[in-house]
Amino acid sequence: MLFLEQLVNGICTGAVYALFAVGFGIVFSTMQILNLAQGVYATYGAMLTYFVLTRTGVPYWLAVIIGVAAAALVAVLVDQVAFEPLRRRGVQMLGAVIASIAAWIALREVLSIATNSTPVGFPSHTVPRGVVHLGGIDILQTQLMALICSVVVITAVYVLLHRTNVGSAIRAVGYEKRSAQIAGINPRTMIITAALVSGAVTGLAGVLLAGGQSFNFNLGDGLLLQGFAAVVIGGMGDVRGSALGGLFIGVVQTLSASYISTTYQDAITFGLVLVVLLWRPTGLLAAANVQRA
Amino acid sequence: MRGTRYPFSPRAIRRGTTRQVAAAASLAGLLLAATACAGGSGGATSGGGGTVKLGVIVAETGPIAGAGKAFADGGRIAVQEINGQNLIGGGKKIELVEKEGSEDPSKSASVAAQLAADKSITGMVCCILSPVAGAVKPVAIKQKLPLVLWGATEANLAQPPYVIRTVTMPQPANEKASQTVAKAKGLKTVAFGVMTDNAGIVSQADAFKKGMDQAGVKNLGQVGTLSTQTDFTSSATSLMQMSPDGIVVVGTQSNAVGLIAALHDKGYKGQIISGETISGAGVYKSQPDALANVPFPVYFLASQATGLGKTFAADYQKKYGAAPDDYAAQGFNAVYTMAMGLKAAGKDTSRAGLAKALGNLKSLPDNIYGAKVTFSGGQLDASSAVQVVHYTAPDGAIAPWSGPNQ
Repeated sequence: MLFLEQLVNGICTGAVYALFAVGFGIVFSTMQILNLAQGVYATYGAMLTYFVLTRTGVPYWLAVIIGVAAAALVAVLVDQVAFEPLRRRGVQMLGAVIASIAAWIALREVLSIATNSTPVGFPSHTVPRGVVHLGGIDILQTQLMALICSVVVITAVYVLLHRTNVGSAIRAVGYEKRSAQIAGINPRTMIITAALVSGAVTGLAGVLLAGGQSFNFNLGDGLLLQGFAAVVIGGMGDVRGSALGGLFIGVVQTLSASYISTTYQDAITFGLVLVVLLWRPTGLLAAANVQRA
Repeated sequence: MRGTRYPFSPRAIRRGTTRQVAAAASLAGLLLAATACAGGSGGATSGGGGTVKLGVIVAETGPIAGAGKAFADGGRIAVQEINGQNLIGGGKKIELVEKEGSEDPSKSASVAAQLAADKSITGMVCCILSPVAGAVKPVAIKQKLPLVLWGATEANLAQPPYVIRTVTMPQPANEKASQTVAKAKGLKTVAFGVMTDNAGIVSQADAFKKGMDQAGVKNLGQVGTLSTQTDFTSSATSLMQMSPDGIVVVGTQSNAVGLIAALHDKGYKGQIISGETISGAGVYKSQPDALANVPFPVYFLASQATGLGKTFAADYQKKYGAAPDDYAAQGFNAVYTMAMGLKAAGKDTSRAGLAKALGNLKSLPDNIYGAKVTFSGGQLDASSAVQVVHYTAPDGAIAPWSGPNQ
């Protein structure tokens, strides 16, 4: 029963990683940017939700929507202020990475000052903090919420990217911007849309992660490595791959900490990531790169 | 012809070169002499007007900025009182030269080097985390700059005469807390949730284990957590699976609070105990339901303070609008100890003089803890001041833990 409960814990943790990885992957595949400020969007989602909850009387679900929307706006702001000028100058990935580090530090410091660097937590009467008993296993309501939200949102993002014109346009810009432009797609509009979706999804990951615990301005930093690894495992450009990658990391991390060693859990987890990459270098679900003659 | 001067002859060129070398050598010699006159070996001139400058590496940004601010604020109140009450004597005053280290080892070491290079600075106060202390300590020893460590808890960091530690070590407090709670609650079994990637925390956990062992409580085992951990439900599940009467949670602030919250949410009904890291501004408000009634040890409790401690608490409350916690008390005590060292050094307020005085310091008769405070091997001991406290609901005030009915 302990194994089953830990497996459920791992899946629920992995669900949050998956959500973060999807947000991270959208930026990576659309803009070819390794955005190290992505974790801060998660923190902003959680923090802004906290501020709305503590300063207004709105219900939790509304505060979450506001927090997530605000995180999306922060993502657009970072893109337009930090990345767009570099894109116009044709600066490659290294420049964008450096710009993302600057954005990460600046945004994080703003939160540090705003909270006086003290830990905060969603007021106890706002977040469902109970336990659900399912066949001898105890699952926290916050865990269930994380799992359900992740499944719904990741599905919605997949449908958006693969079943709608907007999604096709976003993917086209990510694949070959110039050709998309020739086809009548406005790359800047699609990039902003991608940034919005990415920020919102990542912001939601932050809210779900913060759910039942105290957190501070560092909240999102812990998700960055897992998110990046999940995208790499899953394959660039595929939402399902990023989601699977996140789940994989969550489960392996939890089970290795429970049954092998906490000290080596990261070594084990990322060692397995390397093994997966050796087996499938393009990721679990990535399509092969086709070049026309 | 012989005797005719040719400006570009080899002899003329050699003569010119020789003069240039001689001029350069003289200038260098003058500069060296000036430098030698400016400072003695490890000595520092104080600021003018009887003011002694102390460098302080603060951590008001970075991952533990909340605690860092408390340390820094405590130190600032100490300066206010030391100068206001002429505690050093002879009209000498202290001036703090604060530099931000963000509690990052490399940044703090760089800042320490800057402070050490400034010969007007007589001593330095620093270091909440043990890795930071480990980075700064060699700089202080090499530059012969007296250093007082105010927060790092790893064993054997003090190295008199240049490195003194005024940290009220959590280990004796943890031993006492575990014995007190175990006896009051009649605990038979205990499990430990320990943040294993921090040597200082592991050492604190060992002290809890020792105390529990001395109280005859059976250790059922340990679940490790990591400083980078963001979710604690699996750790809480593993701990609860052991069915212990009590769980001791040892970690840095966010880590410990996260695990305590997870245990609470999972419905753990036994006794949770933790360390001083769960004290601090804002902590209770972040998880009031989980933290209420969790006992933890402190050396300083503002509501129970007397004498110098009471004055400190009042001044701190007046200036910062909140009662000082254990971290603020340690910040105060570090600067206060420096001041007592300067007092003992008398007229010799050079770095060497201060180091000698600090190295010879055996006690602090008048102190904020209101208890016997001694020094041994450069390490402060105030273990007789330890109290077991808890947060009271709903206001989150810290009060003495009253035992079985809590």
